[in-house]
Amino acid sequence: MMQDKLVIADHSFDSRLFTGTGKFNSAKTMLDSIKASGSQLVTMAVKRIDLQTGSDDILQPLVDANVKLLPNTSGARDAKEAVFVAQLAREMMQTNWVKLEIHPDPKYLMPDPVETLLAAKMLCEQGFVVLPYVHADPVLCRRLEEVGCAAVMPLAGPIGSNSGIQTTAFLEMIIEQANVPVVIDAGIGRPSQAALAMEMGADAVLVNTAIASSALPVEMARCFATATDCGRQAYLAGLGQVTKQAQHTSPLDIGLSQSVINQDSSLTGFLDDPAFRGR
Amino acid sequence: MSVSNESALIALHVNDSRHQVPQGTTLSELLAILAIDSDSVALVSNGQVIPKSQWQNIACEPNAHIELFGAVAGG
Repeated sequence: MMQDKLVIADHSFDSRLFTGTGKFNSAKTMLDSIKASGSQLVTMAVKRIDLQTGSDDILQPLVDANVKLLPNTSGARDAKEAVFVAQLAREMMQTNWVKLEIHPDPKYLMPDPVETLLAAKMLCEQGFVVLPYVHADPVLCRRLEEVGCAAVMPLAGPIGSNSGIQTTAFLEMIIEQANVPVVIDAGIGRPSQAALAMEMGADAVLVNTAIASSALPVEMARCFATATDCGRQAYLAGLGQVTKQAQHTSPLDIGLSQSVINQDSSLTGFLDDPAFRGR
Repeated sequence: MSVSNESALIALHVNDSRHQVPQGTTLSELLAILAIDSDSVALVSNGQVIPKSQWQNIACEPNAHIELFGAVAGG
C-alpha cells in the first residue's frame, strides 16, 4: 500500500476514519469498537459533573488506547459559549484541538454558520486547532479556512440520522476548493456511504451513530474501517469517467456472418420455427 | 484537615449545591474533599476558567460559585 498519511495541523494520521464516543451501550463496547475501527482521533463532549453520581472516567482508557482526543463544543448555543467550552476542554483534556459545533436548534441540530465563523476566528486567535462542524456550504468552508481553521467538517446529513450523503453536490465543491483537509461528518449511516465519501475525495470521515447503534458495534467498526480505506484507495487509484451513453467494453463486431450461423441448423433451427416464437 | 472553630468555615456553591470548607482551602484541596479526581476535570470559579497549574495556589473565595466539568462520551 502506498504511503498515505493524513496531516491536520501538526499531527499525522494513518487512519482516515474518525469516530465518536457517544451512544454506545457500555464503555467497554465503545473502547473495543474504537480499537476495531483503527481510529486515531475520537471525539468527546464536556458536561458539568453531577456531584451525586460522579463522572465516568472514560478519558484515561482512551489515552491508554493511544488515540488523540478531539473535544467538541456540543451544547454551546453561540460563539461565546463555544469559546468557553473549548477553554474548559483544553484544561480538562490537555489538548488545544477542538471540534467546534454550535447547533442551537434541538430538532435538526443544524449548525449555526454565523456563530460558528465568529467562534472559529476567536479560537484560532487563541491558538486552538479548530475543526468546525458546518453545513455543506462551500462559501462558509472557505471563510473558515481563511480565519485559520485546520480542517473543515461539513455534514453529509443531520447528526445521528444515518440518512446518508444528502449534500453530495456541495461536498464536491468544498473538496474541490479546500486547501485544508475536509472531514465529512454526520449522517453517514453505512460503510458504503463512508466509502462513497472517500471516493469523492474527502480526506476523512467521522462516524459515531452508525457504529454505536449497530447490533454488533465492534464488527460494524471494522466494516467502516475497511470501507473508508477502500474508498480512499479507489480515489487514489482514480475512478473511471462517468458517461450517459454506453461505452462498449467488448468488441461489437466479432465477424459473424449468416454462413457461419447457418452451418448447423440442428442447433439453432428451432429459432426459425414460428411455433417457438409464439406466432 | 482539622477545623478549629465554626468561624473558620466558608460557604461555597459547587455545581449548585452548598458546601462549607475551612477558610484557606485551596482549589486542589476542595477537589480532594469532594473526592473528585482532578486529572480529568475543568474548574470554573466565579465565571473564570482556572488553569490546573494554579489550583494548588488559589484558595477558595467565600461564597464563590465553583463549577466542575468533566469529559463525557460524545460525537
